[in-house]
Amino acid sequence: MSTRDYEAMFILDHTAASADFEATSGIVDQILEKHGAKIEQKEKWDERKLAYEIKGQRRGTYYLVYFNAAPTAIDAVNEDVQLNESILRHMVIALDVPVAEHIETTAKEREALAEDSRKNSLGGWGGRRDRRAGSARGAGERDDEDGSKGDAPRREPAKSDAKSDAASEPAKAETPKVESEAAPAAASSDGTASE
Amino acid sequence: MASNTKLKNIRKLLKKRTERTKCRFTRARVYDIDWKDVATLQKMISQQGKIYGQKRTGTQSHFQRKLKTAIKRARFMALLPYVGR
Repeated sequence: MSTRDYEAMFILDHTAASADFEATSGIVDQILEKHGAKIEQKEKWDERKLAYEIKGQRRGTYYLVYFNAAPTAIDAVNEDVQLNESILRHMVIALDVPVAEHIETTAKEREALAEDSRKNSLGGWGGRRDRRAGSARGAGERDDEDGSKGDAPRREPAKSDAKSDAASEPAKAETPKVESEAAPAAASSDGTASE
Repeated sequence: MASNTKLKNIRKLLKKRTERTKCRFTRARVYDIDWKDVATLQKMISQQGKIYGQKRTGTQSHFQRKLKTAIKRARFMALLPYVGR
């Protein structure tokens, strides 16, 4: 009978696991071994706050097991685990590659992703541009570039404004007169109306 | 010889492309996205717990599909919220 490698995560009851982790994780091991699974690697993955409540619990102890078993045994394992009170939740995932290889590649990839986010931690596109320009020229240069870009359009409108102002000055000079002539008239008319 | 230099040029071009891409998974040359890597997955979801689209993160479609399953697995195991704060 052919077997497969599996990765399984169990959320154990936090109060039970913190009291005696060995005993609680032993329940899981027993269930797996009962159905003919061969445990390859097991570890206490983490003790963390759950993202949401499960069976009224806010915290959980995560237990990660890699094992080799026949595909037909998985259903029975799921059933037994679900019946157990001290296991809040579990998930079994079939692996495409052998356990040792899987653990090695995932560790490498996680490191690569962390390294990448560290490199690009400047946020957005800044990190990438810096890397291309070289580490010596950093955020300062980028600010200069942005500044020059920002200044250029600002200057141009200023010039055009000055020109337009010069052109519109006579027009403006005329208009206030008209207004001032009209305003008293309006005021007087208002005044007469009110009087 | 000529073909050899051509090949080198092509490799250089490909390397440049993978380094410049917006997709963080392509840059890191990942084969699969680990559903237990909460720090990485956290960057790909919003405060509400929604998965960010490819347009926003620049993730390539091949990895967006893997990311989807990874996030959903993490949600089931209460590593990530279904609905955030």
